[in-house]
Amino acid sequence: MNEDLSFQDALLTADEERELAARWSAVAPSSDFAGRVLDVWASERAALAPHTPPETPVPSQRRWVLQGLALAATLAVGVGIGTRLHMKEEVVSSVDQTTAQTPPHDPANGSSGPAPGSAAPSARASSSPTVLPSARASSVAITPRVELVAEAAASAPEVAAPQTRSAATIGPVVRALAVQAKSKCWEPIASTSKPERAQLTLQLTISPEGLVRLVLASGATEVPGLATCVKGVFAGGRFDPSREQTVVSVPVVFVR
Amino acid sequence: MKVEELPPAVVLRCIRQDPVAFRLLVSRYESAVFACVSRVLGGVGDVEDLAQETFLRAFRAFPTFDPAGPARVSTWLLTIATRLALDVRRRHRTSGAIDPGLWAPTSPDPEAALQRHEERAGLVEAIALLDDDQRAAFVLFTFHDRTIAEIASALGVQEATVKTRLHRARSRLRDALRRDGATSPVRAKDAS
Repeated sequence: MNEDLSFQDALLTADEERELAARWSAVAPSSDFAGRVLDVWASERAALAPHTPPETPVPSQRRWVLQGLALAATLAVGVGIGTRLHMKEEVVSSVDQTTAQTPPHDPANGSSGPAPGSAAPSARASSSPTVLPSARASSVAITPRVELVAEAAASAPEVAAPQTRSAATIGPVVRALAVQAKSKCWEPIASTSKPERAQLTLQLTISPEGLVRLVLASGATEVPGLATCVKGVFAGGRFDPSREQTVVSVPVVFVR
Repeated sequence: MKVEELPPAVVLRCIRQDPVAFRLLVSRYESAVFACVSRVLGGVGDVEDLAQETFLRAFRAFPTFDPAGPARVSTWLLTIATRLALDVRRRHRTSGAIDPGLWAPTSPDPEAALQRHEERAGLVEAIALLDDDQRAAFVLFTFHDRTIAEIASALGVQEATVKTRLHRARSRLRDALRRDGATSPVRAKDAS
């Protein structure tokens, strides 16, 4: 390796390289970093996948009633949050937004030229786009998706809690947290560093008691400090109790 | 930091976005990516967030990775990591988060001021004084054993440019090391 170096006048000795490595210390990965990355990847895939029907078949008449109730609940929450909130149809394609900002063959942001080892650019969309309902409160767009992670029934608290959480029950809390994140994180950053837009995907692990056990974030690396700040806000979320632990994938878009 | 490359069969499974293969990929390269990101970042930004973003971008882009191409998976990952880290440093600098006094001394004669600063600087300051491009080239060459050609491709510059950056970075660090060597308690203890 490095045999093509044609100049030798500034080479470091082996001792110097060792000392440099020791004093220019590197951060080591934390435990189960791989697991967390794969969790975020899985939730990202789930958020981008088309809606799938529930596992237990629901009679069509009952399904219409449930959809109507969910819509009514969402509208009621929208009215409650503020007059500037309005329902919006947001198209979310299976091409993720972060990668779509850069050529698919150049995953590193903001750089030109083909990435090594990559083939010619090709479309990354592997399935047709899906249309998701989302709420946009002035500069925050949230599209919560709910993925349930079953736990042993024995570990569930003995409370009269609903069987599972749903987007309809989680959505209002998530929207309130996103509004907090907007005022605590996005607006201070946007007032100084002039980002036009930032998108990040959060994965919340909510305990049966309703506490946020884990928050993972991906994206928005172009806005320093935003992901860490937003994670802090969402970590303080309180949800209704449930019989199961819940994992929620929440894409959040901040727009100036 | 030498990292054994993934077997071709695992790379092919990564191209098919197999989660099991992705786990192997992360486990194999996480130390190298963390080391690269943390050294290029130099204390600005969240290392774990950026390392995570490196792997997520790789996962998304894997279907376009050419296993028969000239690049190794490790070089490809380090390219993503380096570019992300450099991007964060640039944004920190424009937002004033990196102390401009370290890299752009204000003086009637900035060159002379920088030279005087370098002459006094210890190793830690010398590392901080490296400009972003020198820092990235040096980290990839010295700590990750990338070739000049690989670094040129990763940074999108000519090989001659990489050599110049490496030469300057190594000269600065070597001088700082030797200055530190005269006063470093570690060296003094070792010598005794």
